[in-house]
Amino acid sequence: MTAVHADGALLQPAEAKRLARRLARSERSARLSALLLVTPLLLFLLMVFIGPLLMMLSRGVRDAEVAQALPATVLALRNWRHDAPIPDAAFRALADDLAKAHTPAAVADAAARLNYALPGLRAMLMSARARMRNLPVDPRAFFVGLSPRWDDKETWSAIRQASGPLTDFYLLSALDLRRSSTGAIEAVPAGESAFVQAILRTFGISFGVTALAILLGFPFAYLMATTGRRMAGVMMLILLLPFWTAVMVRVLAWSMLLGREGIVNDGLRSLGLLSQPLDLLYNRTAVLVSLLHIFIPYMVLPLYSVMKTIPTSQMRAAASLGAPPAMAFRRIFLPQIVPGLAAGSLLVFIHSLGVFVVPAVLGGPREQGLPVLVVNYVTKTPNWGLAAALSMVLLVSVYLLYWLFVKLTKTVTPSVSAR
Amino acid sequence: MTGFPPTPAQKAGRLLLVVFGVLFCLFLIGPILAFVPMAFNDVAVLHYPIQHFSLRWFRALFASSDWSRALLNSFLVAAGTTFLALLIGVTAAIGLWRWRSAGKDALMVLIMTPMIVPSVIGATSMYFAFARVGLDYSYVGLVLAHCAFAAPIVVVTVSAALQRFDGNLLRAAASLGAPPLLTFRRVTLPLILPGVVSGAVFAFAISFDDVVAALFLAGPDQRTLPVQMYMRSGDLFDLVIAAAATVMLVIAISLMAVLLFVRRGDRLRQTGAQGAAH
Repeated sequence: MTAVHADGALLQPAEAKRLARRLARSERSARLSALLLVTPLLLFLLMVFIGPLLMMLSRGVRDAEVAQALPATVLALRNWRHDAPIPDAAFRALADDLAKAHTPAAVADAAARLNYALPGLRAMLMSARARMRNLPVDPRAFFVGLSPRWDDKETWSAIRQASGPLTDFYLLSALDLRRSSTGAIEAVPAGESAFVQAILRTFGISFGVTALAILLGFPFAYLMATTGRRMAGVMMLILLLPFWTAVMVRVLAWSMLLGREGIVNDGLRSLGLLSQPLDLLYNRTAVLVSLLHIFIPYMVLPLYSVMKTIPTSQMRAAASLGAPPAMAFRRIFLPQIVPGLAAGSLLVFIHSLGVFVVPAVLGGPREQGLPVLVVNYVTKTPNWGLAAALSMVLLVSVYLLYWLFVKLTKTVTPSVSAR
Repeated sequence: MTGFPPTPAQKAGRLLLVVFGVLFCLFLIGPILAFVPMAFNDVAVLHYPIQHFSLRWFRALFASSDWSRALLNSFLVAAGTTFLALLIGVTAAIGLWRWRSAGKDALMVLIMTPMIVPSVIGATSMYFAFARVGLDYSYVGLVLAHCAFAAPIVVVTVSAALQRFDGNLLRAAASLGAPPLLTFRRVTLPLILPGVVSGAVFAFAISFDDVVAALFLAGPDQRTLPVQMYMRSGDLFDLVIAAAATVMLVIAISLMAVLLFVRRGDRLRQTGAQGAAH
């Protein structure tokens, strides 16, 4: 490296070295200060958001309950294969484990986990623990005497498969799959499957909202971009007012408007147009309309900002060259707004995928998608493993779309500038 | 302008577009405009025209300990969130602005996490983790959760303001002997203030708007206004909900006004600087 004086003379080698060292030091300290400034936020997000998120998601692939409550049984089953007979050692180990569990609480978590895999196993395990006063002489006869299902290889397969430390049980369940007692992956019987349908429903609703947003947002943005400045400002205000209003207010506004005793039904009835109230709520239309109302700015704002950059002279030039309006629109206008259209569509889609309040308040059972399922498995029928697995499905979908958004728009901010 | 005179078909198309625009504007503000006046209805019926106007629902809102507590909680939590989000958000935005090493994009993606992860997943995760350290059902937990959602947007707005900030000003201040903190207060902050204020408004709005995180993390004592509305959403004849919604709408309009005011001031200053006529 050669350093040069302002007047062109070379520095003395020693001086140049010192200068280079000082430059490097000052750059290092600049880097360090940048890092120090970002650190509080990074630490905060890691501890408050990203850490908890990973912790919760890990519940979807971890299997600790059975190994913790029934350690000897898990050990005894380690080398057992489904084609071999159930070893006596397994019965003895289970009796040992249950005898050591002095309270029902000690095996409750494991019993709950096993019940997910094989309904009825919770009761079998809990009653066996309750009858375990002292170690039985013949453990096999003891268990089979309590329930003939203890003689089923299926029962012991379920225990073996749940012995952890990692499991694909919840993830498979989230996709309506399971492992048979031989360990092969198979589809859950049609009557019991529910999750793939919910996943498809979530995507279906998001897709519908996005399509509606394109269909209605496009002409609105076009009107905004081609009308006068003042008018565009008014339209922008009208677009932004609902955007700034709390989601809860908007959702309740729709339910007051559309409910059986709501404003629309009441109005139609007092006008004599109706005798029976219409059922406008708790259906797909109500959810789609309300979601459109909430997310339409995500479509209009990016579209508007690209449309504004297209000079009207371009369309006139196309017309003067003999292009009919439809062709000018397709060949000149449309290609230029593709980035805005892509950004808007992806934003609407991503946000619709994760929405909880709208389907919960305005939808019927057929509108409840993944977010509602996640909440149910956290609050109503607690099953953290399944909640985590369903969250993973949702999260993978959202991040794939976000990745597409970053690739297409070259920005990492999943929001619109003007909110 | 030497355009072609529009053909009748084009005129009809334009008319159609304008009609659509008017209808769509109605769709956008209609529900809110139909909902809010109900708060002033003397009787608990969702019926137009309103026969007698009264403020009874607003009186009920402020008289009820549940509702007034919820309103107060919303303000407290939103204020705490705004303060904390500004503190760490502005700092981080400045750090990112000075960032010269590689990995800035990856860092930004990491910071954006709470904006991308569906709020339900974020809320259940925090509920799961906070319960273990006793932070669930507490104001602190709620503020921390809201701040996770709000801090990234502060980074976005302040970063946008910093993009137009001339780094040479910092060198000039340093050469005149100003210590870094003084430089920040007297040089940097005034110039990026529009971004900071926008960030504050967004942070406040995000906290004030949130239902999902508060549903999980707020105990009965921390219940915020949106949660209280969610809990009561089954009973639409309790028009206190409409009164609460009106209060929230007024807050939304105030926030929007602040933002528009800041943006306008910012624009004026920019054009003034460009014209050099100041």
